[in-house]
Amino acid sequence: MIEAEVRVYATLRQYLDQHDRGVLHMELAEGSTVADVLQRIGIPSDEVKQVFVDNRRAGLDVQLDDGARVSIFPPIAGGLG
Amino acid sequence: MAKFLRVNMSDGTVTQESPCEQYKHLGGRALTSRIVADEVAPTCHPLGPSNKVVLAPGLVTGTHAPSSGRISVGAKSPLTGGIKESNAGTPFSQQMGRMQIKALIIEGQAEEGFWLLVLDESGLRLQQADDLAGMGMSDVVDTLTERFGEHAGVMGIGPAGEMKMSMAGICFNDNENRASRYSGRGGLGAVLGAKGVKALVIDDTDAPGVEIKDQEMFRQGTRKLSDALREHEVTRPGGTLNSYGTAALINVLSEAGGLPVCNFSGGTYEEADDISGETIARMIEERGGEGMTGHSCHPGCIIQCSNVWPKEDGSEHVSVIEYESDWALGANLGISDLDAIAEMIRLCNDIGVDTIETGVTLGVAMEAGVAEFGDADRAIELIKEIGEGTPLGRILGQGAEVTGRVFGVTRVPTVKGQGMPAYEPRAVKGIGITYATTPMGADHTAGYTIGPEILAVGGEEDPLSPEGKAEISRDLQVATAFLDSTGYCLFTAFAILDIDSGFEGMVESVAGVLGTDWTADDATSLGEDVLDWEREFNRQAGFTRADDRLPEFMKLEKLPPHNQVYDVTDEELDRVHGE
Repeated sequence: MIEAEVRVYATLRQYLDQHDRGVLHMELAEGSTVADVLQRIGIPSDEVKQVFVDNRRAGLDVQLDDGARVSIFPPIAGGLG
Repeated sequence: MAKFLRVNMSDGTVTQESPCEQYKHLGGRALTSRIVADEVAPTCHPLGPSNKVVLAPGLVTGTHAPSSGRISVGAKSPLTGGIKESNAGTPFSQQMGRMQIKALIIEGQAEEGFWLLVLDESGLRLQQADDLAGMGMSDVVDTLTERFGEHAGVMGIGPAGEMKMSMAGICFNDNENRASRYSGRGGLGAVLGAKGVKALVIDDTDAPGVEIKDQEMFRQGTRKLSDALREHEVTRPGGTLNSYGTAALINVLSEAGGLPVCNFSGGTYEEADDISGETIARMIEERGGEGMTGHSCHPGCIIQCSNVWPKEDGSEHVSVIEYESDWALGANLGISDLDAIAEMIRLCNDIGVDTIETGVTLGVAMEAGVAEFGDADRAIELIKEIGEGTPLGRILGQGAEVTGRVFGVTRVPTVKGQGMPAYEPRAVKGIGITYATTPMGADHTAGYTIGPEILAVGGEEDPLSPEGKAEISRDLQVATAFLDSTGYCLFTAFAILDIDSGFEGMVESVAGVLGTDWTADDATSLGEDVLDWEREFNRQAGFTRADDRLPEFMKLEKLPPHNQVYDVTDEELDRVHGE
């Protein structure tokens, strides 16, 4: 088993049971991918715009190392103001 | 008929002119930069009588075109020493557009005292404004709306502009007459203060409205653009900008390792979520009362990304907590208390200073030991000192570069003297190219590579790679120079970069107003011209390639978590503008 810290942001927090801060600590089978994390939480992949694993943008097929930090975002923009 | 108004503060004369042919198809940034380039000596002192402040609404501003209430303010900048255009979203711009004032040029210098300019359909008058001198912007707007009525629009400067501080901005009223919309960057408030102008009141009663030469073309264009804005996932009603505001970016940038923390010494912020757009929206909802998300800065905006932050008891504290301010006065200072950040923004709005330059300056001051990172009480005191004009406040009021020099700090995140905004170049290589090479000094809006590099809008690029970024930055700088001339909000770019018909519609709406047959190529060509004029002004002001560089510490110090230095070569930077 591996452990991952999963952070869910913005509109995707509606898929969490406790959507206060969107942080989950998950135990996953060795070789689990970003897609497995989405499936476990129940986030439809077509609502996910981007994922960062340990501060790098990652695809859904990226395999997670033990202790990985996985951050999941819907489409977001802003900050030009 | 479209007209220019010119007020000379040296002798108090006001003249009305018909714009000559070369200005006919210009608006917004294109017009302010063209007039500054034509009329202001590049080597003049920015605070002397030879500099001019030029205000211009965008080409479609004042029409029903969606999200188009921007006003451009141009001058030679006391912060950068180069040409400056800084724009804001405000109903003021729409009034100017409807009065068919293409440009208002404020020149000369009053011998003494401060003046109020009153602008309506009967013309422009000067009134002594000694009663307004020293007043914060909040009281200025309240006083003038009481005197001239709720319909009046207000532009003005706070005490910082009167003291000619290089971080002073020019303030405009928002939809509900708050003193909250700023042409903040580049110290334009100091230029207005140096001329002796405290405020301007505008009332467009009986105005003729914007002349639209080809109504059918205009209608077709605005319909396509509106559809794109309503369809795109980030600009649509209920989309992320509307729901969370611009601060939705805080968590994204932190997770990407590109959120500058504690004066650009780190790229991730452990407390990011405490100051995020998600938390802002949640707390506004929980506190209730006068707070709101989905607030708009001017009538007719589809996106509505602004907000009103409430105090704990639900009463209004400030509008607006947006991403750059939230970062500058939050993460960049190691401060994660939204109420403290709100208070700092309120003070900045009232004193009349740019929140970005203020935050970057305080970061440098904290680096120097003037205060501890994370000490919100001290940060608030320091901003108050800026407003009071104490000796320390006077130093800070001159911005990050001066403050760094005074205190012997080498980690000073500026380009051309202007403080860097909320994206770390060592973690997002393309935005560093924009900071380095835009004529404006470090300015994220000038070529927002964050779209493709971080947000996957308008393409998808690896933020850590320098490959191909010169072209991306250049193309965006050109597109932005056009957009800044139309009066459309830059956020429309998110929709038009992804939806082709939206961009077509934007160009058609402009062509409809002007009665031209413009296509995308004409838009590009105008954007290129604007950059050429601005760069030529800077060249004549003494700028060289050496000014198109990031500060040295970014090439020497590795930034966690990616542990990268800034590795875009000088040759690559010089390639942006083809030199």
